[in-house]
Amino acid sequence: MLVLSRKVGQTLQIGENICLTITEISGDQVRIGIDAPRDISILRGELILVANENAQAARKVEGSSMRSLAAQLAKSRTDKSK
Amino acid sequence: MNINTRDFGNLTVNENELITFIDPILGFEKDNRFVLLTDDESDGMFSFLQSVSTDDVCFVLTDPKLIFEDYNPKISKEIEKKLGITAENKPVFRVLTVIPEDFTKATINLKSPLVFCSETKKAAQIVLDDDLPIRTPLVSEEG
Repeated sequence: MLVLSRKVGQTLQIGENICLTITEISGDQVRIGIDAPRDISILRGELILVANENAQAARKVEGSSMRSLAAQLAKSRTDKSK
Repeated sequence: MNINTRDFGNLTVNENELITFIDPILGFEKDNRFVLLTDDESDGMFSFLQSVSTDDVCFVLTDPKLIFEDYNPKISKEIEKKLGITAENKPVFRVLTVIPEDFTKATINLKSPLVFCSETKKAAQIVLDDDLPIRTPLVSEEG
């Protein structure tokens, strides 16, 4: 990983089309301005984790009925709380 | 309207039952209209959020309060406004459940719950700043 020190107002150029500007630093937060072409997707890192977890949640177990798995899970929890 | 579902075959649903996501389920931006289905066998614990436009997009939801009674995340004013949440129209939280083949290994995502307003039938996925795990086991290990 390349690590660089920058001051407020300074920029970083990535490739030909992407430019990052450090706009503000306050406490442990940094505000960054991003100039990039519209087709470049920019997501906060933690949102990628969420999107991956969502994709996982939408996945069906091959060869099983999700209704049946949910029913067994519901039953196992009810049995335990008895 | 007639829809194909992943787990419930072909169904006729009322347009006024449909839930519209104002802020999408991340990664599922194209699916913004869903219908909530329940199964007698798991009702009370799980519901199924089926996309109206994509047959095989379906999520298993559960009420986080069943596991964590105190779960009551803070919602931004902006989201409250978008969904129509007021003092009377309280938000309803549901979390996405991952159920693998070994269902005892199921997990819920407390970090990014779905918020619903039953009155307006609008919903959103929010990502909380709180340090909550994205995977919490549903069946506790010690049983």
